Order: sequence, then structure tokens, then C-alpha cells
Amino acid sequence: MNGVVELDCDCKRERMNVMTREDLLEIINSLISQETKIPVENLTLAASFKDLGIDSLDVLKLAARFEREFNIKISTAELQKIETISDIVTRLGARITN
Amino acid sequence: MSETKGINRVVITGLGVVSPLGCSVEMFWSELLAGKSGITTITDIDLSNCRTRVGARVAGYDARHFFSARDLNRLSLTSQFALVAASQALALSNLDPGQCNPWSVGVILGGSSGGFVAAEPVIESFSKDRIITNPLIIPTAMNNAPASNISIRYGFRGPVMTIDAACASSAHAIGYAFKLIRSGALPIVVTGGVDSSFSPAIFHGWSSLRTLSERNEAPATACRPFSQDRDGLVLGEGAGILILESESSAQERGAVILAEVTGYGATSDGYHLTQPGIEGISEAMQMALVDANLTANDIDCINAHATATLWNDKVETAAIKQTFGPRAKQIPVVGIKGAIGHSIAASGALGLISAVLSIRDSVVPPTINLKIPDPECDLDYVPEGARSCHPKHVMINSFAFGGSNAVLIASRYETKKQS
Repeated sequence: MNGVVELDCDCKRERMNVMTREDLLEIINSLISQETKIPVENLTLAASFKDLGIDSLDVLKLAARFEREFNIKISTAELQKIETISDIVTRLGARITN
Repeated sequence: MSETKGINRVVITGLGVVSPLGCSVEMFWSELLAGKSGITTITDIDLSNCRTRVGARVAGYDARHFFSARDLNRLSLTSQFALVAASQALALSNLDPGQCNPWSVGVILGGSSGGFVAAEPVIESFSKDRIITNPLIIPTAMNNAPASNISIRYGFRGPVMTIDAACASSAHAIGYAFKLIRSGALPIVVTGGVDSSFSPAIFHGWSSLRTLSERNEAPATACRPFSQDRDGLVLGEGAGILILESESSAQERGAVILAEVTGYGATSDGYHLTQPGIEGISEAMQMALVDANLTANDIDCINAHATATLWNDKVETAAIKQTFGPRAKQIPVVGIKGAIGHSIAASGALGLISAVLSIRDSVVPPTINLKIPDPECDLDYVPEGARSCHPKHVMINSFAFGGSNAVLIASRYETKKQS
């Protein structure tokens, strides 16, 4: 695996409780960058995955990483609707921070 | 293109090598001629519990020199080797992917163990934690990924496939590519093979078959083809890629023709998973001669399979004698695995590349580490060092576990075929 997000579980929960949208975005972008090797500074909220060069195989890696890091389940149908970083925040944000 | 069904001559216009003797054709060739060995003590995988600790890993390779971190996300080691060797072969062939009809270029490789090696860490971790650590393990580790990655990178849209016949994989892949081009089905094929056996379980698996040399104290001389004191093969890895195309395609492109492929013979032993048989091998040699419209008198040199196992070398020698009769002793028979180890699915392609370079430079490389003659291996194996000669037709042997035999013939290219 490529790197490990530097949050242990307790610490993560503590931070989640006071997590702002910016905090969440920072974590999501960090994970996307680790998995895709795309520099964080290139990851913008509205950019489509297509424009970023993120393809369907990258999305599978991201889904596996999010499921593992945040102990959530992402359905296949849901996965197919995620096309931007904004989609991730909108669709998964509540589950990630809860 | 002006291919004609059934009568196309098939020429070689590009070569690429990733090997234990270096990651370029010329480095591979000069080290081979110099009698150098690429076999070393293996330190990067845990072999502390293994009878064998020597192997021939690719030398001078730094993935970061060729690929971005993003590329490496989904390229197995064998996909990387294949892409690097393919880029060399395309450059030498002066084949610009942007300038050719994409449907006219196929990619047909041999591959065998590389997928297992790529999958092993993920399987090991899954067996402990029940978690797949790489969600892309299937498309990354599948054995056809190296060929597909070449097709994807260059936009080649002819047939893309991988032939697995273990140690004979690339010779069969090249043979199949040769048949496709000769028949007029396709003008250009990127072909050859790639493999690696360097993961703990695969390496231990080979060792448990008692096929590996256990001469751990002397890596450079561990692999001794045809020598009476040979004690087994040494695992290697690498890629050998060739650009095969119809003569008319090469002429239309103005490509430099390095040699011609003239024959391919393929048989199976049909009786044992690991023991080679004289009849199947000899028949494959005979088929290749007939295919090339040659006789036993026409072959000037043999690039032997020569694994340095007790069985292969004596059975191969007997098969050569059965095929060539008394003339067998007059033909230089070289085995290059003493220098590069056994790169399994890549070995036939590297043997063919060595043969093409022998034709180009009028010299054959030595069989290194042959110090003690074996009464059952009594041919001219060129043990003394590289030898000048002027081969017109070279036979390349490739045999495999599973009883699969492939024999290719490479010939000096002459504009008008002499009858």
C-alpha cells in the first residue's frame, strides 16, 4: 500500500467531532493524492475526475481506501455516481464525520 | 501495406532487452560476448529457509527512471520490464506509433510466473487479515497485463494476447506472431516475452522441485550448462521484445532489417509434467526446418535451451544428435543461461535476440562455466569464449514444463531468397 493516513482511530474520532468541511476536504484530498499520486494542489473541489485524469480504476482504489479508513460501506451504485471531489464530500461526508 | 496471403517473408526490425546483464540490447550483448555472469546472491527476498539463494535479477534497473509514481500504481514488475524493452525495440525499429495504422499492429507476448509474483504480497496479506490491500490486484497482476500495457501506451489495436507455455512461452508467442505475419493476417507484431520468479513462494516452489542449483557459495559460476558438474538451473527474470513485420511493411517504412524469421516448430512431449523427451524436441526441430524450407545441413549454430539441469542438457543433446546426425558435432551449440539464468517466459525471446545479434555481428557468445565435459553432452558448446563465425541460419530451442517444445529459426536477411 502507498503510505498510511496519519490518523489513528481515537485521534480520528476526536477530530471528526469538530471537523469542518475544510478539514474533511483536506483529509479526502490527502487520501486521493496518496492513492492516485496526483499532487494535492491539483485537486480542486469542482474539477471532474476526468479532467484530473482519475479513471474508473482509481475510483475503485479510492473507494477501498475510504471504506477502510472511515469504516464505512460504499455501494457499487453509489460509486458509479461519484465523478468529482465535491461528490465525495456531498455523498460520503456525513458518514465519514459521524 | 502490400501483404499477400500466405507468402510474406517475416523480418525483425527492432529489439529490446531488460536482463540481468543490463537494460539495453548492446549492454546485454557485450556482456554476453565477454562471458560475464548476471547471477548473484539474492538479498531482497527472504530465502533464509531456502536451499537456493542465488538468482539472476535484472541489473541496472531503476523504475523511477522510466515511470512516474502514478504509472507505478498499476504496473507490475513484468509490465514495467515489457514496457521498457518495447520502447527500445520500437525506437530501434523506427516505428512511430502515431504514423502507423493502429489496427495493423498486434502485441503478442509470452508470460508465465510474473502474475503470481505480483499477486503474492496481496494474497499473503489477505490470508492474514482478509483485506485486499490493492483493489487493482487483478488487472495489475494478470499475466496478460504486460502485453496490454504496451497496447495501451502506444495505441496499438491489433490483437493483444499472452501465451503461457511456461519456459517456452515467448518462443511460442514469436512463432504465432511469425505465422500471423507470414499468412498476411497482420503486418506488424510487437512480440517476445517477459517474466520474473522472484517472490518468496514462487522461488521456494522452484526450489522444492529440486531443479535449482544449490551452489550458493559461487553465484557467478552456479549455472553450468552441459558441464558434468551442473546441479540445476538458476532463476532469472527480464524481458526480450522484438518487432516482427512483413518484408513489405519494413521496406515501405524504410526500416533497417536485422534478420529474418524463417521457421517455427511446435510439439508436445505428451507424457510428463516436468521431464523432457527426446522425440518431442527432435520433432519440433524437424518441423522448424521443414517450415523454413531448410535441411539439417543448413543450420550453422544452435542457441540451446540449456537450462543446466541434469535432464534438460542431456536430453537436448540427444535430440540435437537425432535431428542432425553426424553433423551435430560440427554445429556450435551455445547456452546463455549460465550468464543470465532462466528467465522462464522471456528466455526464448532473449535466445532469439542473441541469435539475431550473432547474425548481425558474425560472432556467437560462449557457454560459460562449462569446465568438466559430460560424456552425455558431447557437442561443440563453445566453452572457450565468444567465437567468430558467420551464421546464416540459427536454430533457437525453447522447452518447457508441461512438455511444450518450441523451435524457431532466424536467418540472415538477403534481399532475394536463394533457393
